[in-house]
Amino acid sequence: MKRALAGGVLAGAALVAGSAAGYSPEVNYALQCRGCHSENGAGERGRVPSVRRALARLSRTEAGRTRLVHLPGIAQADLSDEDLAALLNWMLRTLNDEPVSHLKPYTAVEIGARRATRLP
Amino acid sequence: MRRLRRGSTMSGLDGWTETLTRSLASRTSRRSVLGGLVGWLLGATALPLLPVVRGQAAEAQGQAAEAQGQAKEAVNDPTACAYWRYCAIDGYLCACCGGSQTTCPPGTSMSPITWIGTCLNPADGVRYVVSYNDCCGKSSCGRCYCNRNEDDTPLFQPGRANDYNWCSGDSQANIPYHCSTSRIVGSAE
Repeated sequence: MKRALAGGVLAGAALVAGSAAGYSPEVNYALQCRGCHSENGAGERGRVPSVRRALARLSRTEAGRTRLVHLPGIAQADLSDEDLAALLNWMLRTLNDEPVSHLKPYTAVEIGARRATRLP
Repeated sequence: MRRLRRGSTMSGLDGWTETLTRSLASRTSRRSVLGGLVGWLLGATALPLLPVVRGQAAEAQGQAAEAQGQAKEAVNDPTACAYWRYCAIDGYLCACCGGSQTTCPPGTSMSPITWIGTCLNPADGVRYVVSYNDCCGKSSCGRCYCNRNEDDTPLFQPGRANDYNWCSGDSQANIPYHCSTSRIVGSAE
């Protein structure tokens, strides 16, 4: 209900700004990532790296998780902290070949903090 | 002239012209004048061969093709820029080039790297995710140029910009852009 209300209020603004707000992680993946990384995240050999192992491997360490949100495609994506956290968690569930049961899911708070951190 | 209107502006102009002509004649030879003239003529004929001028000509051709495409105002006509799926297209319509809105014309191949956006289908009011895969392998089609660019961003925001040549890259190196398709890959809702 809250989401529907916010959606109604923001609908006009979103149309003007072309914002990604309100889309599901799957649609955000299509709009922000899929054009290059392809439908299953495998990318294209020699041109676009696969996310199917790299995402989980980067997510294992503190430095990797910070590095991840500063990768060009992610840093420039028009996504809120909430939407990016949901998108990364969806990708780890859906477009992934690595074990992830031990991984801590991303949260909006974590994404915000890591976005504010400068890379060493 | 000088005798008739001595001291007037006209005679001053005459005198100035005479001085200029005589000094020019005493300083330059016929050969040097001819040489310069030939240089100018050759330069002028070579100018249209420069890539800048050719680019302008191609742009003019593109604008003519754009007018041709926009003349057909039909939301459900795949050969018209107004077709609802083309809301973010920037290129020649494959449907006008021997292919369709989802398939490449013979002799071209579809680039797997693509720009993706959303378009509202007025028929059911649903917003769909649309992938604008380019067809590569032959020179520009030149028919039905459309440039609608909904949700496109400027090149300094590269993540959502569509002004790239999506035929470039490793496996498609140096393969020219021919036309663009628009493939529905899902619902945005």
